[in-house]
Amino acid sequence: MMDKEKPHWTALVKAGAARQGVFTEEMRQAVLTRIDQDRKKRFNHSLIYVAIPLLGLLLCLFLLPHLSSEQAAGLSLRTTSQVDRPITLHYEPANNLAVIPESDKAIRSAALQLVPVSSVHMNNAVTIHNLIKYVDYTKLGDDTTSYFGFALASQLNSVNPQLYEIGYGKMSDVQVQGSEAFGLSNLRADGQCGPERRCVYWLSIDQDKVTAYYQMDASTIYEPDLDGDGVTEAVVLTHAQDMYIYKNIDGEIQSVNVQTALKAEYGDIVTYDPEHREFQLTNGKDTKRYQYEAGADRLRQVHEEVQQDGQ
Amino acid sequence: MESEYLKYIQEIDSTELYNLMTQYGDDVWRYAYALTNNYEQANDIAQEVFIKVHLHMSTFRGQSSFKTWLFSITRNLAVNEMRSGYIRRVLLFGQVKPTVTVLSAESTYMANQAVEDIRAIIMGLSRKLREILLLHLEHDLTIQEMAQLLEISEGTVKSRLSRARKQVEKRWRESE
Repeated sequence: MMDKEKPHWTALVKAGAARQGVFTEEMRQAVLTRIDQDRKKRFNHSLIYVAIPLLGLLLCLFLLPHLSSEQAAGLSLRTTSQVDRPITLHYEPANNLAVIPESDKAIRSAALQLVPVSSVHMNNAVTIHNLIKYVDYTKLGDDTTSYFGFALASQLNSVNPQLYEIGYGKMSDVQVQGSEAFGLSNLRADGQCGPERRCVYWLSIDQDKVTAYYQMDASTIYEPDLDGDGVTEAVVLTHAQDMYIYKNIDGEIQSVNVQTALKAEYGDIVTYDPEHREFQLTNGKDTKRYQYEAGADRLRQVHEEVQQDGQ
Repeated sequence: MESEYLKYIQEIDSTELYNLMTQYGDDVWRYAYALTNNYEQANDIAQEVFIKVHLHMSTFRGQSSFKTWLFSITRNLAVNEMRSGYIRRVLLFGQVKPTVTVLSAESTYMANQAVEDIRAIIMGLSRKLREILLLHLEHDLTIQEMAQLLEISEGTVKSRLSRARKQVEKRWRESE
């Protein structure tokens, strides 16, 4: 009956979509301008990369004639352009464990439950950057276990204030910052959660659901978009100096150990340069640098520098 | 199919990028708008998508159609933007405020009142439902393409599409 009085709505939607362009000429030009600016920046950076080694080489050429023959025999610096094959990264999901062992470095998730503030006794509450309030507390009654969690300002100011419970324990030296890790997170909270342990919680805050993605040993954390798909990964260095890359794969955060991937041996040092998004493997006289390949889970060697005994 | 050659391209120059923006810019913008329901965010996201395309063209290998690949970048950027936007609103204002400029922004390119009405009804749906409905109606994506883009099963796509249609038809009838 209504269909006779009104044109069918699906046709209207299609008609509306086709009516007028919305990605304007101005927007197209803005994109081209930005790309041009980025290209110039990259060119300037590449000039620096060329200029610095060239300067070093000139310096060596200048200094070498002044070295004694013994000194010269002990040191020669060679930069090679030979590169290894790309290293495929084999991401693994978190093990399904009833009890999480000390050595487990997986990121796990938990949907957080709301707890009425009236049902707890707060022992410590810290407001961080006006973002969230960290709290640790005991529950009213005989339970003396310490629990901790957080609350948004709006929740604490409501008529029936509530907080999100993370679990038992407590954290100190808590730091909070905005985060877009894994395309899931809104906030990242990390702090001391043991004598020599730093825990990190990535919090995803939706209108009706808050999820914590947590890793129980994270001394240093970076959140780059390594593969260039618009979703950030996490590069985490643990207290034990292990380095992991965490990536959202089909909704599950999976991990790969960088030392294992690069076949690092005892004594080798693996570092991450956040500015250039490069992983570096050093074994005393040999340094290799790797970058993540765009769109592929592989590390591609971009540079090798060998310092070897000369003859 | 006219974009089949793109999977063999490692880099694109400004002219080619301009052509892609001309061909797909409106689609990308509309999808960004369907996701965000926010004119300014859609503008920013749509431009960011093509900057990403320029940087990462070599990663397109034709596993999906070029349009679906563009939409997956759009979706990632939009979801990130909405998440950060949501937390900003929650923390600064204590509650999520609805966007009130939707109709006036929309009306800049929708002159017909009936079109505006139906558009308002669709944008009033939940994000999941309006996204799937607009992907189907505006962008002609197949069930399989939508499932691939949204990383859900084809059954879920059909179910959401059906729910979206029913809700729009109900509200459309009620609007008279």
